[in-house]
Amino acid sequence: MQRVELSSNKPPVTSLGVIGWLRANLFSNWLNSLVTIISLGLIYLFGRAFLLWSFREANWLAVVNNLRVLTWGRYPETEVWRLGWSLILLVGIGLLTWRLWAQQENPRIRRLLLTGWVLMPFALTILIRGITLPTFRTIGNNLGYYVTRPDVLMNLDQTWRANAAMTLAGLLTGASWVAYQKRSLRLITSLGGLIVIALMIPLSMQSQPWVFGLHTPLAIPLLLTFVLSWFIGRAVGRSFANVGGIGRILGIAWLISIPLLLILLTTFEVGVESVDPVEALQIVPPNIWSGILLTLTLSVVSIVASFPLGVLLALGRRSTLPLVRSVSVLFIEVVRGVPLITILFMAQVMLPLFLPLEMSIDRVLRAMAGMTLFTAAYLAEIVRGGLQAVRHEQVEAARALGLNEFLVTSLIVLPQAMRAVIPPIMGQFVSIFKDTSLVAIVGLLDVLAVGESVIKQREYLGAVREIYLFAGLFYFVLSYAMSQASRRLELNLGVIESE
Amino acid sequence: MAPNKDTPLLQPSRWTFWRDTRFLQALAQVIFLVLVALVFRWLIGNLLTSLEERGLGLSFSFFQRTAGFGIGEGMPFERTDTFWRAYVVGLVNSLRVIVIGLALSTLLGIVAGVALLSPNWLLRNIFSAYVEVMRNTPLLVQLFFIYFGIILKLPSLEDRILIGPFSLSNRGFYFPRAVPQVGSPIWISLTLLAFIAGIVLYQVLLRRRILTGVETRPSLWAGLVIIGVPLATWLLLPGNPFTLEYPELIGLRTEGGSRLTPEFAGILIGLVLYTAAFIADIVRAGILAVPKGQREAATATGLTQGQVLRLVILPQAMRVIIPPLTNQYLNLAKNSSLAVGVGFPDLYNISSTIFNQSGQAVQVISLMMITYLLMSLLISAVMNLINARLRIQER
Repeated sequence: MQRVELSSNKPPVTSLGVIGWLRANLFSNWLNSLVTIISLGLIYLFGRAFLLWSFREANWLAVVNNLRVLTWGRYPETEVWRLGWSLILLVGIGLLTWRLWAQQENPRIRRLLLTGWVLMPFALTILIRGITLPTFRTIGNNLGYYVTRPDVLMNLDQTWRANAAMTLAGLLTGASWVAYQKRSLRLITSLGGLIVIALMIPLSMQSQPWVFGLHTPLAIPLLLTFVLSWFIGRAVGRSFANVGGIGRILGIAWLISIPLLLILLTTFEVGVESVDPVEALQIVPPNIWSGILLTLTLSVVSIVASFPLGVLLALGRRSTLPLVRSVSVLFIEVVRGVPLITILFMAQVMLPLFLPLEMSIDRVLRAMAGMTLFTAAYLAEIVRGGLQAVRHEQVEAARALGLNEFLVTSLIVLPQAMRAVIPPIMGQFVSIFKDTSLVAIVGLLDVLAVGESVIKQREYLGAVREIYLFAGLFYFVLSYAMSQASRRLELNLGVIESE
Repeated sequence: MAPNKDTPLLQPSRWTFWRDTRFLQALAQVIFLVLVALVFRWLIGNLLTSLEERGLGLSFSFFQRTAGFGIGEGMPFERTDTFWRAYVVGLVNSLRVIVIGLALSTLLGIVAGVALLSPNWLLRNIFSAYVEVMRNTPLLVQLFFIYFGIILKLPSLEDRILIGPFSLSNRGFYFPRAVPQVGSPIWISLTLLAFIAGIVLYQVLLRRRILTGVETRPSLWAGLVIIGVPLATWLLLPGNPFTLEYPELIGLRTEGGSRLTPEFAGILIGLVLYTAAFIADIVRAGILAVPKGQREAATATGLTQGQVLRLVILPQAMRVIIPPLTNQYLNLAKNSSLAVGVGFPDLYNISSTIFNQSGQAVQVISLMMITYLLMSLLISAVMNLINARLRIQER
């Protein structure tokens, strides 16, 4: 054993501790030292200029006094509580999902959360936009039109309600047909569908110019709708036939659908005050949504709405049918090849031309349509990447089990593909969120445009930097949070994927 | 796919045409086609009705009419020129922004990407803060801030900031202009020749060095030719081939010199700063993707740090970098349409003015979209070519 002088074992001052760190990271050689000194000088100059400006010159009142108008713009003051609740709902379910999703032992939690997410857009729409509900008198009166005066419905242009009701009834009966084994239950549910059909009989006799301008009785489109949705409902029901509790879920769906059908069928005005539906929550039309509210709504809507379209396009691009494939490729590549602003411009200017004259849509809805189409094309490419990542053995095994193509895609391929592309989809969310700022150019009042109008007020005339710094900070905080979350998600998923 | 139509082991099942995959596929396509056709018919029908209602047509002949608006920048344009000429002016302006933007953002992106990997803690973090800020705020906000918050807040022309012959004000950036004199054609052509000769010389000397192993100093000789010939011509010519014309303030406006308009500067600075942040991240990832052993082996063979980077790391990193870089180039081209936010007359800006003046939405929008589409296709074609070139060298 050799004796070692203990005092010499102390860490040398030059390579550890603060000085050591400084030496290693900032002053390792002369070039490095030079870079450090120049950087420090620049930081000092810029920092000093910024601090001087922000304390002496900046008029932060431009932001503080207008915080309200920047946040919800022209949304009626008395109704703002609804925005608060929407935010609480959204953040609440987000946090719950974040905390509870990983709990594997109770599959019910996941199902509940998923249901929550599916219902969320509807709840938010009702909360933010408001809703008119029929009174009992409305229901009684307006249902009467279906039976006795179907021509009134035609004149009021309300026949789409019949189609919507048929879709709902068709889906439910179709799903019930395969989900219920008991003959009595099958009969009862079919009876439900039949009642809806029976209600439409008088309307079916009316005729309307349809395909190629031929006058066709409404019976044909109505029946087509029903049959189509019946088959879709049956396919969906079959996919979940073996999932426990499908019967109970369908039962609840039937119970909910009865008031839903009544509302759907009767919520229209006939011009008589005593029977017209009343505003249960004051209607705030989209064209007065503005500020941060508009920015957030636009991004959420375009993300949610583009999902189904994007998945369909991705599947279409990988389809074996050349026609479907080429249409999908054409759409995706054209949309990805042009700037978003041209699509928004087209949505504002050209979309109204492509719709019937009597159908006018809100400027905000037009922007939403444009954003959705744009996002869908990008999402389709992301999802396609996920689809390619699903191993072919999975598809073959599923086919060997006897699943048909629809079931193979919806139960085997898509869930795995979607899980693989969660991080890039989050990245897409961030970029869509930032891209919503472009609606300011086509004349919508998002947070940026409201900021512009604040700057034009006389008392805040020079406050350009303050307002845009605020807008930048708003975008930065949310985007940065989202990208950090996606990075964490990526790490978590990465551990799972690489095994 | 599944050949289950002939299963002789069991009883021969009857072949029915509606169970044949080929038939089903054909049927599905026909149904799809009919659906698409119906939707299109509906859309086109609506379009024709609304166009008729508004007294508009689908002809492109209105592009020959006089525009009646002025364009502040780019090729000379009079109010009496046609819409078509206005469109071309816009296109050229867009291309100018895109080409200069591509070059500058690549440069800045590479510098920032290397800085992101710098051993210097301060430098690394300054650049990563820059990248994060740029990536997490919308380009439009940045453009507005740069244009309205910085450029337009510069002092007015009277109190302009003078830096030697350059001057900076909220009317733009003024700098001296080179005016060609009598000798300029000779000088330009000789310079061009010297440039070509220099490149050829470099290749020849390089090849000889590779073949014989004798140091031929290709960079030195090529550099001498490329710098020496123009310099010698400049000195030997009786008068200077170029003279400088300085901008002068006369009353409330300047005369002479060249000017970078605030709008052009705004869109260019915004685009470059934004795109460079994305490119920096790509470059960083590309360099990190080169295996560590490569650097160590290169250092071990005695190459200097610069040579390691230039000859070993970068060529390999390029293969990883090019595909995402192509995406960023496409984004830059598409984002150049945000020039409208700072009032620069680019393709989108002029197109929307043409639409406002003529009301012909369908033609203007489709022409604009096709133009952007062609630009995107051109950029990806060029980048694919470069990508292919890089790949061939792989053994």
